[in-house]
Amino acid sequence: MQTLLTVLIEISRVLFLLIALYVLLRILDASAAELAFKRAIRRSGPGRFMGVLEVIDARHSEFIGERYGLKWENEIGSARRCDIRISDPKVQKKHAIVFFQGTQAFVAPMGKARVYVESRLVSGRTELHDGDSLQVGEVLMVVTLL
Amino acid sequence: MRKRSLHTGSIVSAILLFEITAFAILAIGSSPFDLRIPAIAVGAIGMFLFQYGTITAFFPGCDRPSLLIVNFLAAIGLIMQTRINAEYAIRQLLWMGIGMVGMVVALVGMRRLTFWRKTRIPFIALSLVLLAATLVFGSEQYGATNWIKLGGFTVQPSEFVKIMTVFVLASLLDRGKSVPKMLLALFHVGACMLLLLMAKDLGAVLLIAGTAIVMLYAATGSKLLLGLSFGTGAVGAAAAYKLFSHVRTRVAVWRNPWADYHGSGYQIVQGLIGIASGGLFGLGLTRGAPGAIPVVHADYIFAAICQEFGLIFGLIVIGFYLVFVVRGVLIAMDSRNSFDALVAVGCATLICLQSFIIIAGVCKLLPLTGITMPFASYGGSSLLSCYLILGVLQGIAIKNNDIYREEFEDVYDRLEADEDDEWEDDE
Repeated sequence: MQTLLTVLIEISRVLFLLIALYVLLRILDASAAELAFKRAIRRSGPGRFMGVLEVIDARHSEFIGERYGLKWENEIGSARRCDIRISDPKVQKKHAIVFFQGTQAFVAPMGKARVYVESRLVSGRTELHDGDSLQVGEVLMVVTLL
Repeated sequence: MRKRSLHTGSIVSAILLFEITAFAILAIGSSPFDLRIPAIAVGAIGMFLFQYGTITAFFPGCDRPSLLIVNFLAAIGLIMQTRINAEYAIRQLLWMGIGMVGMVVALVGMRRLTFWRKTRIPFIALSLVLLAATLVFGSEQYGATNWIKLGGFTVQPSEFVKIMTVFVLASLLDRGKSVPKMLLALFHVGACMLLLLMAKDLGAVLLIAGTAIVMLYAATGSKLLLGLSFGTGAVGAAAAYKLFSHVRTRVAVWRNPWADYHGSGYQIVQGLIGIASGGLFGLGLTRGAPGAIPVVHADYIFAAICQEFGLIFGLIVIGFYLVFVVRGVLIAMDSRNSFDALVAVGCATLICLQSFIIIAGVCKLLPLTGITMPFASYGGSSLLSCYLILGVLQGIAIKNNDIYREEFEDVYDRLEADEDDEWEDDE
């Protein structure tokens, strides 16, 4: 038993080193590959987001700073199925829709919801420009077009 | 560009081989045969496989490399605890289980809950109450009053205060410079540092100060504030040296431990002898004398690792910590909101500083401060707080990956279709 133990210990002195080195190098390799993959993704085509809405003011401060990516069509509301879900009491279940036509962005209120662009109440389809403010309920957002 | 997945099967197998071989050596070498050792082995391996399997199954977007690194470090720590004293290993295993539960809670909390920004005032209050209570009701251990007895357990509140500090600073600094918020951040950091200094917990003082400086720079990018922070830190360190005798003692012992080899310098000297005696490849598991190093199961576990596994192995362990920290920073850079980014930076900094300070202390690069080696050292509170940090990082990583996948869904689909075609071609 003592001989077995001695042999095992001697083998383990090299084995443990090799295992630790193997684990470290595999993790380093995978990390490098992951970084390269993400870089390749970013270079290979446009992301699906064509713009960003960032909350800059709200009655409930928990929303401030939240950013929402804008896809081709985005339903804004308090319902779970909305693309951009804002759980503010003054935001309707389906409040507004932000959509793109070519490179132009538009917002349209849904139903009787009140939507403000640059502090002006909009009644129908209204174009959005980069840097415009957009308010739904008591949540004020700024539009960034990518 | 072909997507290369991290095939973790081989890494998991390697870690299992490491654990099985090490515990086999410990079991065969125990005289009389210690039944606790195979039990600890089964517990450790079972816990590792269960934790890794369930986390990666339920949260496919998790950061697997850092999960594997933590499991490997925890395995090394557990093997050394078993080598030193099986009782320590059993308690360590119990705390690992608690830590893993805590990790999942933190992970889910970071993903689901949005109230973390509002926790700054409660966390500031709780931190100060905990530290003040430790000062008043705490018990002294190894020269510092930083433990509170709760029933049969001793808890170190400073371990949780450092995590709360990360959240406080993130919520105060995530919206750029604001004088009232900066002053509140300064008050929190200053008050915590003062209370910890009075409790003689120098390690925690360094951790909180260092983390605050890094998070301040990450949030503002201001070299002026960075310079001011370092300047304040240097002045504070000099003042602490002048005012507190235990600081002077630590520095004197660090400068020349051989002057009082049998007294205050004994631990440092024994640790250095231990590291040197291991050489590059180590004496071999069970061939060293870790018992000759005071508090080897906690502060000085790195010396025991170097003695039995070798200096090269010790450098690889440092490499693991570095990779973990870098991955934490990458998680921060991928974050889509500044609060998550700052929390990730803060958590990565905590692990970086903690591992650097203790390893540097053991190697006599820095004065000893009595903090533990993350994931490896014996210590329930330390282990739990490290797992909570891991959970927070994993939660942010999963959030990042979910958004990434949605944002680049078309590209992912195309690349994965290409990969399937390649597999079909191979067949």
